[in-house]
Formats: sequence, structure tokens, C-alpha cells
Amino acid sequence: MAQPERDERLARAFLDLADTLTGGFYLIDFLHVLTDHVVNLLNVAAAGVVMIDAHGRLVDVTASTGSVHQLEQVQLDFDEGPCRDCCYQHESIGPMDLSGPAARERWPRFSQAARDAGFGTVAAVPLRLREESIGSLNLFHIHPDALDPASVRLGQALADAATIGILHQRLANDQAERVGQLQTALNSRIVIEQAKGYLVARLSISPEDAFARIRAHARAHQRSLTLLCEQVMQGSAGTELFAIPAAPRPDV
Amino acid sequence: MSTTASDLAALLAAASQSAQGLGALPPARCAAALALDGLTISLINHSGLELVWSDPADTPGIALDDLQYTLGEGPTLDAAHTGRPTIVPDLHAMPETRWPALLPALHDHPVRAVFALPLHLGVIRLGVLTGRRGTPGPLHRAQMTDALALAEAATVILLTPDGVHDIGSNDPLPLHRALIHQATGALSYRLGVSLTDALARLRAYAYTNDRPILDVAHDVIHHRLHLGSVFK
Repeated sequence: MAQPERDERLARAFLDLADTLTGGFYLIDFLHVLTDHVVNLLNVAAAGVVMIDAHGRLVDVTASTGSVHQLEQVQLDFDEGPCRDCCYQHESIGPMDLSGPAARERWPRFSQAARDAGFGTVAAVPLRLREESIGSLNLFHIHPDALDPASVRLGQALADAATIGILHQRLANDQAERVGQLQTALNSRIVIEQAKGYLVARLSISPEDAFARIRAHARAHQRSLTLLCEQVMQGSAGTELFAIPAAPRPDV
Repeated sequence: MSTTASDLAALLAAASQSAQGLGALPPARCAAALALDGLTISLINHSGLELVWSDPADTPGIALDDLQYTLGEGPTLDAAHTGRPTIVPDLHAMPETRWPALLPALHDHPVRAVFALPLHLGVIRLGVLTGRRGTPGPLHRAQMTDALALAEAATVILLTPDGVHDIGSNDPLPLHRALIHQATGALSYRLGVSLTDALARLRAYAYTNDRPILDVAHDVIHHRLHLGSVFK
């Protein structure tokens, strides 16, 4: 690739990886963008990504080719491999010769599978911001000892950009979700008051008695209080909620 | 000014560490730190604004909010609708056409200056922080900076899980207009109209009879006001 074209692609890659807040965001699509740029810009044969979920489990495998996708899955299934180690150790792994004794000893099943898929070298860099790792990026080459340090460094730079993009997006998502929860909580409070008032008027009871009745009904029918109150106001609540309170039986 | 600013910083720090939502932020002390007479926060909801944060002793501030709710106009509502601060250094200097129903109603009110700042997250409008003062005059630059910082901090506190929780539970953030929503539900049954219409009639009655809307709502719920014919 000519230098000007490569520079332009590099700039494009960093822009793509930062641009997570406009339009729809799908993590899998975004990780494909990352692996595509990595393969285009670095001297590597293939790239894959493994993400860590909130509970520390490895999830969300993405890769530039089908065979690497399988290799990432192998790491999850056998709980061994450079991506897995990189996720848990929060630092880059390799490059390692896949037929060398170190790799064979450390990841017996993974290195066998990788060699079978035609790869000679592997490296992994973390998707990391300060202390937090959210996943790792695997780089594969077909020749042994073929991954040069410059490629690994650039891989780390792209992984850093992607991490910032993903964390921005997560933050924006969390906040949007909380705005929704706030609105829901407020609406819920209001509709409960409205339903109380409705029963007050319909049954000539006090607001406290109305609330007790609504709560008992919701509990007996295992329905959410808010949902029941919405049904009261829409006229679709069960009729027994409106049964006239029985007058106390006079003592004979 | 520097002492009040550090008061405010201490109040905000304490509230955000308490994990008790807005309930941990004392409105009267925040108002004092900003050299204002009162502060309220209302949240935007599809049926209007809900007053969720005020000092129970702040009668003029609560009355100002209720009046705006009844009349459907005022600086707090403007800030909610436009998403921009509405600064009124002197209510008496405003042309009556700006808020034709509210301004006459506020004439005998101990409120001269109102500062309404929107609470927002990006383009999402959440609510309004409203400050008031009994004397006319602008907000100084430092006061404005503090008021904006308070608005921002209140937004953050509201958006913590505890901020939501407090509104969902009954205690630290009681819904000031709960009784109005009860009365709306009651009227919708008695008059056989939608909730929107029931609320409109409640507001209209309060306005035409020159009574606080909460008093009217109380009478509706406690059967002292059989509104059938009055509202029709």
C-alpha cells in the first residue's frame, strides 16, 4: 500500500472507531469494523476480538475470517489461549511462535487448532482503559515469528481507540436508560394516585382504603401495582376490584 | 461570594456521596448558598411538570410552582419548553403579555425575581431548577455559575439509581401534587371524562374561583366539593 493511501486509511480507521455516538450502534458491527481495519492496515493475516461481560466472562466473539472466529471460540470453550490470557492479565501477549514449546505448553489445544488453521504466529493486545479491560484483540500471521513490533503497536493503538469508542457508547446508553427509568418511576407514581382517586369517587372510600384495596388486588393477582392502576384508568381492570365493600354484619 | 460557593460545593459533595438521591440535598440551604430565598426542582412529565424537590416551609416557592401548574404558563414552564434558562430579574418589569394570567396573579406575591434553569442531559430535557427571590435584581456571574453547577449536579443525582428509587418510593421525594392526581382520577369517574379533561377542569375551576389548586383537589377527594354541575 502506498504511504499516502495508508495514512488516509489510518485516519479513517481512528475516526470510525471514535464515532460511536451517531446513529445506531451495534457492538458486533463495530468489532467487525475494528478487525477489518486491523487486517487492512497491519501486516497480519487475520484478526479476532473477544469481549468480557460485566461478570468477567468472555463473550461476543468477532473475527475477520471464519477460521479465526472458530479459533476465538476455541479459547472460550477450552478456557485457554492468548485472547483469554490477555483479557485476564490486562497486558499484551506475544508475539508467540505457535509451534514453539512455549505456546504448545501454555495453550496445548489452542495452538494445535491455530496451526491446523494455517497460522504460525499469534499476538494479543488488550482493549483497555486505565485499569479496566473490556476485551482483547488477537492478531494472527501465517509465518512463524512474522508479527513485527510496529504492527503490534499499531494494533494496540487501534484497540485503544475502539475501547474509548465503546466506553463512550456504554456511558451514553446507561444515561439514556436512566432517563427512561426516571420517567417510568414518575409516571408510575402519578397513575397510582389517579387510580386511588378513581376508587375514592367510585366506591366512596378514603384514599388510604383505596390504596389498600389496589395493593391487595395486585398482590392477589400477582400483578404490578402500576400495571393494575393503568388498567383501572383504562377501564380494563377486573370488576372485583370495584365490589362494594360489604357492610359489617349486624350482631343478632 | 466565595463562602457561599464553598457551602454549595460541600452540600453537593455530601448529597452525591449519600446515595439517597435528591432527598439528601436540602433546598433551603442550597438557596441560602446561592443568596436566593427559595429553590425548587420540577420534573417534566407528559401531563405537565411535577414538583419533586422543595423545602416544606417554602410556601411562596411552592405557591409559585402551583400557580404556574394551574395557569399553564410561567418561567419554569418556559425553561422546560425551550430548554434554555429563563431569567426574570424583576417580575414587575415584565410586560403583562409575556404571562398574561400569571403576572397579575403574582402581584401580591412575595416573589420579585425568578431564575429557571433547565435540567438536561444532552438534548433530553429532564426538568427545571427554579430559584426565586423577594427582591428584584439580576444573578451575579458567580451566582449564575453556582446555579448552573447545582442544576448539573441535581441532574447527575437524579440519574443515579438512587435518584430514581427515591421518586418510586414514598419517602424522601414525595410527589407534591399527589392530591391533584387523585382528584383528577376521581373527577374522571364522576364526570365520565378523560384524565386530560378532568385535569383541565380542575385547573379551570381553581383559576376561575381564584383558589389554590391543591385546596380544590382536597375538596374533591374529601367530598366537600360535588363538582358535577359546576364543571359541566
